[in-house]
Amino acid sequence: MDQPMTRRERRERERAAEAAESARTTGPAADPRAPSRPDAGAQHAGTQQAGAQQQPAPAGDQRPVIRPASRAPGRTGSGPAHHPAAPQGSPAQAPYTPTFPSAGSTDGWSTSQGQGTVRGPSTAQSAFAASASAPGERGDARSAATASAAGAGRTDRRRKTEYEPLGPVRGTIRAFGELCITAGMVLILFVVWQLWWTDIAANRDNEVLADQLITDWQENPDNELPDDPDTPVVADPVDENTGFGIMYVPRFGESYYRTVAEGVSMEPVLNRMGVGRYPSSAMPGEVGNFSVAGHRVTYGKPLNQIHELRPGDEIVVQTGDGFYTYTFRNFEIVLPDATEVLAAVPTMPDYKGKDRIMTLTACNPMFSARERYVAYAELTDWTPAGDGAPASIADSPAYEQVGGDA
Amino acid sequence: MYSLLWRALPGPWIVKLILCLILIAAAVYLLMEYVFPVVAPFMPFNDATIEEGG
Repeated sequence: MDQPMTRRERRERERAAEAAESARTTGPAADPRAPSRPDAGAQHAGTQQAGAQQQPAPAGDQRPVIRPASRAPGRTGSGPAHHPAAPQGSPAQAPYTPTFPSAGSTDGWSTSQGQGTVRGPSTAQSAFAASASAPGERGDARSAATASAAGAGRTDRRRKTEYEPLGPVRGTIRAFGELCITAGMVLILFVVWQLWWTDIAANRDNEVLADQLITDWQENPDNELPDDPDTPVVADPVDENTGFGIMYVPRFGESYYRTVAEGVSMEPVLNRMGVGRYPSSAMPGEVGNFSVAGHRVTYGKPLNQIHELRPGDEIVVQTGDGFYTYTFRNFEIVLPDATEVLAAVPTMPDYKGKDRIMTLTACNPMFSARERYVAYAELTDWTPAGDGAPASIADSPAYEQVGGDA
Repeated sequence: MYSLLWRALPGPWIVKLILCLILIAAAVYLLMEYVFPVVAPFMPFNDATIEEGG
């Protein structure tokens, strides 16, 4: 055969060679069906001769009878033995193919059969006997005549037996390998979910919540102006896990806006509602420290570009009462337990402040929880809701997308 | 493992293929919708808050 042999083909060939070898060494006494076989040396020479003359593969006298019946089901099946590039082996192998539990290849049989064709009928019988001993060892003692008469059932049987050679050890190894591949795929899927899908889901939630807030604010226009126009209105805290504001940061992008919710729990605030206000901190516009936390990566990454803030950048927080414009002053990188940055006077918890501070916290460096990036801003402007958005965001795509003055 | 699954599925190979794709889609959906959100808080890169003992 000029085709590369598969493992199964090679095994079948080796097994056939062993069978022929055992039949030769045990002699005629071990095989009553080969009484007229010549001596072992002649048999051996015959095998070699058959190997040399395999290529012509002369058609035996049974070829016109066997060939149509054996090839018809073979076309529906799959396997190297039925490849059209190997036509010389098929007719001669056909009568013996059914005796193989594994039908991957019958190269070994073509050798024996070729020997029979060359040496004559009596030798062909002995070769058949030798070949029949191999299936007998595997518990399949059907005669060639019975098997060749099976005909139609052959195809199904071949398909099923193709899986048999996988023993327990190989099967375990394969299952283990498949489990490892599966685990790797799951890990990749987790990374995809974490880095890509959470952003999509959080951005969608952000839009929905912002629309909801705008609608609520339009339905409840309790924008009573304060006595002193310079003193911002301070709303009462809302329930935890409830959105109460929208944050615009032009430095983060023209169309950047994120909702502000109460609480700093991962679910649902930080993961799905933008940034979250520390419940112990001040409300927007209140004297003290209005502190919010937000993801820097994943889940919509509201504070992804917190390191891009420059002194003077404006952070506008819109609530039902108005627009609070904070101006970024400076940043700090602290350890995760540095709660003093949330104090009314940041880093000085003992003092009672008089300024209106805003503090943003996010993880630092990105994809790590080792440190926290803290950005400080100070209230510099306030606009009642009735007066519309401040100029810094009034014309931005973000404000229009949220709903703006509509 | 997967060869067992392939043999357990009924029908010709095209039906098996469709069933396999459905099973894969179901597994992906279950993972992304229910398993990953439970696992994510234990990942070390999501914590953004400042808190005592954090």
